Formats: sequence, structure tokens, C-alpha cells
Amino acid sequence: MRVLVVEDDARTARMLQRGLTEDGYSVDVTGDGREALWRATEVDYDAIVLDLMLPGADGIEMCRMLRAAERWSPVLMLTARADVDDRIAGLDAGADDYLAKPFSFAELSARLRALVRRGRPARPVVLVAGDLALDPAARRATRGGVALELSSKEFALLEFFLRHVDEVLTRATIREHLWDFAADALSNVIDQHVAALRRKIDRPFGVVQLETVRGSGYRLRPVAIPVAAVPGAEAD
Amino acid sequence: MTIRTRLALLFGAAALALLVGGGVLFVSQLQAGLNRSLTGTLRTRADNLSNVLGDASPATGLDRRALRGDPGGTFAQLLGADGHLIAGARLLAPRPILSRTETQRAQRHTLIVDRQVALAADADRGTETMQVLARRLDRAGDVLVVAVTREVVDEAVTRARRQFVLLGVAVLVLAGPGAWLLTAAALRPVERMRREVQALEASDDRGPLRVPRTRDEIARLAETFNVVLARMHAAVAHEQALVADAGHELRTPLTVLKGELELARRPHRTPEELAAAVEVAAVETDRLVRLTDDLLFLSREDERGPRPEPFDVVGVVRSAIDAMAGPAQRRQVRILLSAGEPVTCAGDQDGIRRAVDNLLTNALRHAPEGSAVAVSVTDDEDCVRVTVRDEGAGFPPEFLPVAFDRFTRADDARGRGDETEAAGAGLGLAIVRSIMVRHGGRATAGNRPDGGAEVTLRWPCQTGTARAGARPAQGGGTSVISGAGART
Repeated sequence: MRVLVVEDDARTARMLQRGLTEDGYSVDVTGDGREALWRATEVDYDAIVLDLMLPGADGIEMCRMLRAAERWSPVLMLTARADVDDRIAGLDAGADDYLAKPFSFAELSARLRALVRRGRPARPVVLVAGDLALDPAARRATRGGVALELSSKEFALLEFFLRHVDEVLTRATIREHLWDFAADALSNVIDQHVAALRRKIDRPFGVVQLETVRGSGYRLRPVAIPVAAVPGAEAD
Repeated sequence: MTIRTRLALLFGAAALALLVGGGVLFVSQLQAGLNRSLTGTLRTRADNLSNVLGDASPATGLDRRALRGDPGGTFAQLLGADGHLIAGARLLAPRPILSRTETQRAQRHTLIVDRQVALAADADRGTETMQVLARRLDRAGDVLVVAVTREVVDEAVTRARRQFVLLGVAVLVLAGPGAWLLTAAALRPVERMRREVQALEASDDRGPLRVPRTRDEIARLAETFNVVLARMHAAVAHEQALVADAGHELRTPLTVLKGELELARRPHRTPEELAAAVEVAAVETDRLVRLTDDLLFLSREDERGPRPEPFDVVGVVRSAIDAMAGPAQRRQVRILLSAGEPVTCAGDQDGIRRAVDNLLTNALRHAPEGSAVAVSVTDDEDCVRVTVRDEGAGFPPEFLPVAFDRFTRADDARGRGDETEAAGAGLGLAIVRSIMVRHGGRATAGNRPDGGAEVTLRWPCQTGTARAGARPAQGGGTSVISGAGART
């Protein structure tokens, strides 16, 4: 297991390196944000320990750039300030966990193990399919840069579709994930919401991306197709 | 009691007092004037009768007729010396108006009295209040009495008095509430401001208060309030920033300390590993102690008042340099002092020593091996200047503007925490500045054209302690105080 420690305080970095090496990790240390970014894009680290207060590049900015470059190494950030805003910003920028200084080394070690266990699936901060984009942290959805005005249910629905691009989602699956037990299984509330969503994300742009799969459910295509290219498109 | 109530009561009371005073004066003047006019009427009648009656006594029938009438509402009686009625006005009851003693007094001098006078039986009223004038008519001692009714006069006075009372009630009714309303209107912005301040206190809002558009005292009050508020918020923000920074700075050594101790506790440690851990822990503890010390000094610096005592600046700088001999020798750096005669100055000796110590520590940290650190003490007209120069890399340009801020380090600006254990917390120059500010002076940092950093302290010398004719000491009397390089 290879770990990158990004920490500008030399003594903290030395301590981390020593402890992690003893735990059996191969440890690279850097104190500079730019260098850290370069290394993280070159080497596919199993985990990154990132101090948020960095000279060169801000730790949060580094995290965002790392995710934008589609590097999915789990990031454990270290914060010195007991500031909740910092942690929120860090987590929303793509960090996977945080520890406040001073921390227990045993806890750091355990958290790293947990992060490594989870593997490195793609977990983009901003969900994208074609020119459709959705940022859950900012609660913002756009098509081709144009902001989409969505209700919170429509937003959740679109987020769910974007997390399962090109998969056929049955009404039962959608209900299970987006509605609570109280929802009436027989009503066509899902169809209504999908129709409403389609009126906002597809129709105004003259494209079809959220399509009905007859007899099964719905599917969000990876890219939008112009309406003209779809034979007999969208009766509903 | 609110200002409103007080003002309303005061205003009402003042208006009432004025009105009562004015009313009493007016009514008494009116009464006196009317009385004088009545007396004038009586005198005229008496004079006329005297002329008619002459000195003749006893009175003739003609005379009696003159007495019987009532011209101008005046009535007359002629009384004998013993007080009996000789003749009188037809409308009056046929008995003397005056008693016998009064008649006797009237024989000596003119008598003017008010009296209830009985009217004749055929008159429709019983008695009437009249002003009566009596005086001796002739040698025989007869007394002429004339009287005129007071009815009109008394009525006029009563009416005037009643009107004043009515006016008083009206003033009370209008002035009190009027003052109340006016005060309320005038104080409304104050009350609004009070509520805004209260809201500010309750919430974390930082104002400012709305300044009324009127250019009056209240607008000025609001402006002053805003200035004070802004300053308070700045002070609080400053304190919060310091606490946050201090928290951050304390967390770093604590993180290392905690981590090292935790790692040392792991099983199967060799004595060498444990010794290394203890060494690291000791270094971090030193760092924490230094940091705490500096923070305490800075926080106390804000409240400590200057207690100026005269001391020799050159002596203080020299002893500071002596104290650095050890570290200087280890780093093979010479410290050169350029100073002339003693410069006596009033100030906080410990503070100045601490500032010089900090400058020397910084210079030694950045001076290359074998180089020299030059210290000079100059005594200008009315201020002392201490300059410390090194031959190191100098300050990074981007660090210069924030050199004296808390928790800023030139090392950070260079982009990498330095590995030396001597790295400070970024409080050294902040302490220097705070000491200079307390002495009414300032500290400046810069780079010399030929390389190397230069920090200058400059503060005014208390008058009377700076010696006259002191010459700039720079260039004169250079002496090598400490120098490992010079010795080896």
C-alpha cells in the first residue's frame, strides 16, 4: 500500500512518515501543494493524507483538482482549525474523511485502513452525462452551462439517474430509493415527476436524454440526442 | 422617571407658574387701577359738593337738594360732627354710612374705605358694596361722605380672575401633553437607536446603526456610536483571529508530541528509538513553551503601561549580544557592535532587551556560516535607532508587508517549512513591533542593496534624558564583541 503524505510542517510529516512506515505503508512525503498534485496524478496512491493548510496550493483546491483529474485515491484530510466550515469545504471538494489535529495516530491508522478497504471507485464531486451536469454540494444542475430550475424531488431524481447513467431504472427501484414507505405504490407519482423533469431538462433544449423504456422503466442516456434523430419520440 | 415624563411635568409646571404669576400681577394691577379711577370719581363729586355747600353750616335747603341726587352713580351724605345724618342721597337708607369714630377720624384726614351700604327701602336691592370717601367739610366739623358702587369694578376683576383660571387649565391641558408629544417625537430616534443597539447585542450582527438624515445631535450620536462599534468589532475580530491562530499554532507541536508519544508506546521499542522519541518530545515541548511564553507576552503587552526608567541603550544591546555568544559561536557567526558613548534613554529596559534579543535570534538563524551580523546604536536628535543587519538571503519580497504580523514566517513565504529546530512560531517580530508601539516608536524591515536583511528599531527618547551634543555613533568605536570566527 502506498500513501502520499502532504504536510508542510516538517516534524509532523516526519512523525507521520515514521508511524505509517511502521504500519507497513510505503510513504511519500511532500510539503508543497503543487508537487503533491503532480505526484498524485502520476502515481495511483492507495490513500492520501492531506493537510488543509498548505503553501503553494490550498489543500481544498488541491483536492478539487485531483478529483477533476479523475484521480480517485481516497483522501484523508487533516485540519488544524476546529472550523466546521473548513471540514465541509474539504469534504465537498472530494475529500473522503477528516481528522482534526492533534489526532491519535491509532485513529489515523484505522481511518486509513477503512478508506483503503472502500477501494477507489469513481466518485466525482460533480456528476456529468453529456452536457448535463449536477453538483450535489452546490445543489446546482446545468445543461450546456444553462442552469436548470428543479424542485428538490426533481433534483434528487436527476441525481439518481446521473448516478446510474445508461441503466434501466424500474419504477420500483426509483420508488425504493427516492420515496419513503408512505408513498402509494399504485399511484403514477413517479411518472409525473419524470415527465416534469423531462419538461425541464430535455424539452427546452430540443433533445432526448431521459427516455422511457417501454414496459420496464426509464433510462438516462450517456449523451443527449436531438429530438429529430429519435423516430416517433416521446409520446408522453 | 423617563425624560419624557420629566420634561412634560417640568414644562407644565413652568407654564402654570408663569401664568399664575402673570395672572396675579395683572388682576392686582387691574384692581388698583379701577380703584384709583373710583377714588377719582369720588373726589370729583366731593369737590363739586364742597363748592356747592361752601363753608356754610348748617346747610340750607338748596344744599340738601344737591346732596339728594346720584350723578354718575355716586351718592353723598352730610354727617354732623357727632356723626348724625344731616342730609343724604335719596336712594340710600336714611342713616349714616360711617360710624361715629370713623366720622371723627374723617374730621382729621380724608378717609377712604369699602363698605356695605344700605339702600333706601324703595331701592330694589338691600345693600351694595361701595367705595366711600369722607372728609371734613367745614369748620363746624361736618363731614361730607361720598360713595360709589364697586359692583362694576368687582365684577370686572372677578371676570378677569376667572378667565385666568380658565386659561391656566387650558395651558395645563395643552402644555403637559404637548411637551410629552414633542419630547416623544424628539426622542423617537434615540429610542430607535436603543432598540437597534439592543438587537445588535442580541444577535451577532455588526451594525452599523442607521444614521438619521437630520444633521442634529442625534445623528452625531449615531455616528459616534458607529465609530465605537466599528472599533469594538475590529478589536474583537483581532482577538478572535489571535485566538484562532494561537489554536492552530499550538495544535501543530501538540500533534507531533501526541503522535511521537503514541508511536513510542508501541511494543518492542529499542532504547535508541525511545531516546529519539524523548528527544523529539523535548524539542516539541520547548516549542510549546516558547510559543506560550510569546503569546502571554503579547497579550500582556496590550495592557501593560509603559513605566519609563532611564537606562543605557548601548549597555542593553551589548549584554544582549553577549548572551548570544554561545549560539553565534556554534554557527560560526561574528556579531559586530558599532556604538559610541552610552545612550541614556527612558523606557522599558526589559522590553527593549527582548526586542533586541528577537532581532539577534532572527539574524543568527539566517546568517550564513562565517558571516557577520552588524548591530549599530545611533543617537539622533531626539530618538534612538538600533539596526541589526545580516548577510543572509534577506526577506522574501512578499513577506516584507506582513513581516511584523502575528504568526507570519519568512520560511512560509519561501514555500517550505524549514527543518531546523530553531524555527519560530512567527511571533518574534510581532513582539518587536508591539514593544516599539508601546515606546511610541516603530520597527522597519528591509533588504540591503548588497543582500542581507536589515531591521531597524527607532523610538523617541524621553526628553531630558537624551544628552545634548550626542554625536551619531555609527562608524566610530566599532568593536568586536563576540566572534567565534575571529577567534578560530
